[in-house]
Amino acid sequence: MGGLNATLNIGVRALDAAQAALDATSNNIANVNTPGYTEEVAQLSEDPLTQSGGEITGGGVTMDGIQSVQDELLDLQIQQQTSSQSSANTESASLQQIQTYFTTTGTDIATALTTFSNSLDALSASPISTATQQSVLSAGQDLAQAFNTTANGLTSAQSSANGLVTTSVAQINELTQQIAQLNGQIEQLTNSGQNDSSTEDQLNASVQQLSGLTGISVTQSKSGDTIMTGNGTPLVMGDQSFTLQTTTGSDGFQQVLDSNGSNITSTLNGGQLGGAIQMRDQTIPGMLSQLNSLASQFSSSFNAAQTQGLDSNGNPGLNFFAVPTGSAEAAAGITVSISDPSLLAISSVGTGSSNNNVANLSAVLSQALPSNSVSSTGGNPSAPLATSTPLTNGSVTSIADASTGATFTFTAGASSTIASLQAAIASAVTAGTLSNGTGLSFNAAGHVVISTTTTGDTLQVSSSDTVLGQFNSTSGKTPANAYASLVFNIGNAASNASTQYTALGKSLLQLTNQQSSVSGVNIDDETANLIRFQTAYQAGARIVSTIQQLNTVALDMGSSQSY
Amino acid sequence: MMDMGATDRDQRTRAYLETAHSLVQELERAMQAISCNGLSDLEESLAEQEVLTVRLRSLRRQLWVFNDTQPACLRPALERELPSDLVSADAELQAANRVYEAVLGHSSHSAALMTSLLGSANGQFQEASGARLKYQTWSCRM
Amino acid sequence: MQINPNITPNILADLQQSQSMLNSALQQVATGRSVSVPSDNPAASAAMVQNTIETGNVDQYTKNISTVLASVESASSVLSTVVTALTQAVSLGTEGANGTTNASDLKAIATQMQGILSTVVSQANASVAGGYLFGGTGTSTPYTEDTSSPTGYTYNGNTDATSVVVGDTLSVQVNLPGSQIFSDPSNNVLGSLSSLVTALQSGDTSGIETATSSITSAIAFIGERQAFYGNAENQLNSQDTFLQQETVSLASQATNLVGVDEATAATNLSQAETDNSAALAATAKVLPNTLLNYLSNPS
Repeated sequence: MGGLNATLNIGVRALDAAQAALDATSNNIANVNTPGYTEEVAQLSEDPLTQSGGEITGGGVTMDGIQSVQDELLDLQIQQQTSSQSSANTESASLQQIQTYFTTTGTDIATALTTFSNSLDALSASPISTATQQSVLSAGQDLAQAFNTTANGLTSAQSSANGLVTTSVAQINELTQQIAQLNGQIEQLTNSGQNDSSTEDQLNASVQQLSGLTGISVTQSKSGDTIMTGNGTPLVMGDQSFTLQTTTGSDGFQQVLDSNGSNITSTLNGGQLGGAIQMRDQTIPGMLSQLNSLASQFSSSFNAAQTQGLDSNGNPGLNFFAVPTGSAEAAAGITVSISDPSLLAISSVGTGSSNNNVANLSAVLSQALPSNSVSSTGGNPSAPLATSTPLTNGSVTSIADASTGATFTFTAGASSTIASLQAAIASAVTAGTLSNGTGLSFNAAGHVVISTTTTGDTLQVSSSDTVLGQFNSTSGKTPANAYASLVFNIGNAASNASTQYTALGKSLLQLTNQQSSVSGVNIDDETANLIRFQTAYQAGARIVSTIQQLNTVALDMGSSQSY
Repeated sequence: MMDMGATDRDQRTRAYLETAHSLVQELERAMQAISCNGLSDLEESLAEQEVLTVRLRSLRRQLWVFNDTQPACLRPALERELPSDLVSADAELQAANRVYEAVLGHSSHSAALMTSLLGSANGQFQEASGARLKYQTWSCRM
Repeated sequence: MQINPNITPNILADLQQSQSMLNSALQQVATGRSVSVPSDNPAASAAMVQNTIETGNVDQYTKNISTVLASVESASSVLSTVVTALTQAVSLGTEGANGTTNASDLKAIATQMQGILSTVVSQANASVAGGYLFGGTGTSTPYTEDTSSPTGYTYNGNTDATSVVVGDTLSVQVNLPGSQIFSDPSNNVLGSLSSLVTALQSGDTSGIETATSSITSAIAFIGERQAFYGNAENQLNSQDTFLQQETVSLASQATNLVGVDEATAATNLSQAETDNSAALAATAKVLPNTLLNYLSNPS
């Protein structure tokens, strides 16, 4: 019953994962009234308030004073949630586009894997038939194509996000200029004792728009708003605006610079810009990495099964798949490298031939991919890393991968010393060209050993060396499992982004309704009201928990079918 | 232990589906109430949500017990569409619940900020008048 | 109080949301069921990936079994017939070794024996659906006459054994090469039969006895070979039963996850058949009846 149980297991595991994520979130709600939380909020009231002159009085504050601060508070929350919603919207739109590549369309990876698997099974029943052999080649080509298309879908979404970075920055610059101008106008009016509410409204609207583009923090003073990004990069100060610039980074993507030319890309959060950067630099690369790992390991394993057998001509099997160097492009570039059906390695090596090697080929699909592997950069994924690969200070003597990680051993070259090799490797670790999982050890016998356990680690000792290889880990899943996990991750991410977008929309509506509501209620009444609301929210949180616990009902009931 | 025939079970399954759909509608009503700051609407909805979740839990327990007492191959098949209806009803409910959870989170946060602000009203700031009203300097860490 | 300047973005947001919900609902109606994109139900989508692949596998395993079962069953029954022939050969040989048989009787027995040899050779060359049962994976007639061979026959097949994948971790060998059944060095059946014919023709009593005794042990030998096929048959049949159950489980799981129509479509997609039928099944739901009738009429 392996197939059925495995299928159900992945469903249950996936549901468990979702459950865990939801548990974490519901804890946050439950903590709303914990002391720590209150303390944080209490800080709000402790922040110093300055006046342009005049004294600070205590007690007997009228509602007007409270009202204006409430307005400010509402404004700020609206800005913050507008940023979050805009970011969620950007991510949601991108993920909706991405997930179409992962639905069953006939050209998707799941369909292609199925057909490829079936073609191998059919081959085992008729191993010498040219027709069944050709079917394997065609199915292999379709699978490679499916990988290519899916990877291209991800990179094109990345490209779209990149374009959005450029347009967002342009829009931000326009707005900050406007805001600076309005600040100037308002200050002039104020100094001459006038009060133009329409200019103020314009200012509010512009700041609101800006918050939709990027996360901001707004401070108000008599000379106008000071607006900074969440990380403190100034955007507007009074009547002065600061332009952001973009420049092409080493990865070909647009980097955002502040007015001094410093790269602030990774500090930007929220808004359309933050969402685009998140997708482009974090979310999509994560998905690409999973996809590339799968393509790389799958082709590597399949090629290994090919090369361990004999083809119909009696020759040792050749590689079936070819992936480009480095495996960072594995999915986009994977192709089938044989076109003659007779090159399929259907026979086992050994006395008396048979078609036993077909079982080995099929097994690649039904067994776990090796949990750790080191893929080469030589364009031949089934070949181990070239151990004689020269470095500036020595060479790679051996590579081993085991369940705990990969180990690379280096030897100093003829014209260098072990000390210089050690120094080069140590500085590579510092510079981040080698991220080191378990540490560096310097063997007095003349070798340097590096171990890594981090998936995606690429090995490059100095900038003049080529990238030697990449460490991959798929936690021992079958190709189907690994792909199904990716589908779940993408679906989940898309669902979450959409949820946040919707929820923030409703929350914003609540805030803007509060803003426009007429009040005249005194503080005590308003406080009592708020407390009633908070009680209601807590009751709601308990309902949320209860409903989450009903989550597994479908698997319990829905899938227990009789024969 | 319940002794339930297949018809009975199908009926209860349908009742489960109805209740789940009603609960989704109730969650949406609650979120609408929150958006409009309608406290009494919200409180009514919450009461209804309590009733519905209790009913859901009870139906589930009954159906589960039924499944537990019979080996899978002897259980009569649920009517054709019901199993996938269960899965989609569940997915719909969980999705609505996730939005509900997020909305509650944001609203609680806002309410707590407001409460704290009002609570500090006896403290130390002076109202300004006219145009100055908006330009008191203060900062807010969110 | 202030006029809420923010109302427009909210209206737009609501419109956008309802539009996307409408699109999603339309899609649900069109496909008939709930999972059209992973975000609708991520766990179900992931489970469906597994289901689709496994369903495809199970279908193919089932096809494989029916492909090879005929050959395996035939081989088993052919070997039964061979055993019968060998038994007959033994009694003929015993008769021939009996000192009371006269020369003309011996000649008659020799002729009969020749007939048995020919029968066994033709059984060794048996074929099913155009493929030889006992030639390995070769396409030439397994045994042909060869006067230069001590047994009178030469083996033209190969020694390839075919192992058919019928389960995720189950591969069943479904043939033995003829050279391991009929002309195996340890017990050369054809050789023994030929020797008996020769001995009978020449009246060589001790030769008759030796050959007859070899044939007796050959009966046990063929019996063992028959057991191989019987065993393969059992494995295939019980795997077939298991696969039938798997098919039902997987189909019902798919139905549970995504509903009847989409489950059918998914199964169609998973089969290595032309896309036309799958496309038709999918579009059939939105085509008007008249057009549907036109399209589904076989030409």
